[in-house]
Amino acid sequence: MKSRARFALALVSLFIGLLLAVQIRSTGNFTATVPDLRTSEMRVLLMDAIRQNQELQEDIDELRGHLHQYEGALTQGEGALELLRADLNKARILAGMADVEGPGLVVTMIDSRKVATQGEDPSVFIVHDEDILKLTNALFAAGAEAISVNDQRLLATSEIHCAGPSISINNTRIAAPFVITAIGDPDVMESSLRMRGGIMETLTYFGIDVSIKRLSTVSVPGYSRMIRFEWAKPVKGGK
Amino acid sequence: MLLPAMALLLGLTLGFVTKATIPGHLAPYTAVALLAAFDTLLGGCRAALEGMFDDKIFVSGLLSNTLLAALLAFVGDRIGINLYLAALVAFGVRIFENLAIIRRLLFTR
Repeated sequence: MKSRARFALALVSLFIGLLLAVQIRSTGNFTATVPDLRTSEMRVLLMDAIRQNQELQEDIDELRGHLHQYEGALTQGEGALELLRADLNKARILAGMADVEGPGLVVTMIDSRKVATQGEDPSVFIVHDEDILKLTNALFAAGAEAISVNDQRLLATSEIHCAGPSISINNTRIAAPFVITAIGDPDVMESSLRMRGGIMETLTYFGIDVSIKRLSTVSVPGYSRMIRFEWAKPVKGGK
Repeated sequence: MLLPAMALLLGLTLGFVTKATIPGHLAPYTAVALLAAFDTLLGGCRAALEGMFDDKIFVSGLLSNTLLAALLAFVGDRIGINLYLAALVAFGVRIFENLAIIRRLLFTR
C-alpha cells in the first residue's frame, strides 16, 4: 500500500471517528431527554402540571391577600386580633376541635336480630369495626366534611379498631347501636351508601339493621381532648 | 491497515472527550453523511488493497457521497418523503459489498 493512500485513509478515518463519537453523544442526549411515554400521556401530564401551577398561583394570590390584610390590620392596630381569631376558628374546624353543624345524614347501625342457625358463624351478624370503617370511608369519599361516630369526632389521627365486644374510636370504647353523623351533601352521601354493590347492600345482606336519616341540620361535636404530638415535630423551614 | 484503524480510534476518543454536540434537528443529516463517509473509507481501503488507489477519486468520492447523502436527507425533509432511506440502503449495501471484497483480497493475497 502506498504511503499516500495510507495517509488519506487515516485522515478520513480520524474524521469519521470524530463525527461518529459526536453523533453518538448527541443522539444519546437526545433520546435521554425524551422518555418513552406516549405523547398522549405526556400531554395529560403537561395539562396536570399546568393546572397544578394555576392552583398554586391562586394559592399565592390568596396568601398575598391575607398578608395585605394583616399588614393593613397591623397599621390600624386593633383589627389584627380579630383576624387571628377568625383564622383560629377556621383552624379549629379543620382540626376537628370545634362543634360544627349543617345538613347531613344520621346513619344508625344495630346488630342483626337474626339468630345464627346451626353451622352459621354468629360473628357475621354483628357490626364490626370494618363495617364502620368502610361506611365512614364511603361518606368521606362522598365529600363529608365532618363525621362523628357515637359523638366521637373522626380526626386525622382517629382509629376505628376492634376492641373485643366494643369498638375503639379516639381511644374511647363505643358499643352498639352505632350512630354515625356526617355533615355534607345529603343526596351525594346517601346515594354513595346505597350504591349497587355498596356498603348498604353488604350490611343488609347480613341482616344488620341500618337506617339512614336525612336531616337539614345535624351537629357533629368537636374533639374534646387535647391532641398532643409527642413524636412528630414540625420541620424547620418547611411549609 | 494499522494506521487508519488507529486514526479511527483516535477520532473516537477525541469526539468523546470534546464537548461538541450536534443539534437534534441536524442529527439525521449527519448520520447519513457519516454512513456515506464510512462507505467511501471502505471503498478506499479496497482500492488500496487492489493497488489502484487514487487520491483524486478518493477525495472527490468522499465529498460527493457525503454531500449528496446529506442533500437527499434535506430535500426529503422538505418534500415530506424519507429520501435519506435511499442513501441509507444504497450505502449500506455498498459497505457490505466492499467489506466482502476486502475480506477476499486479504485472504487470497
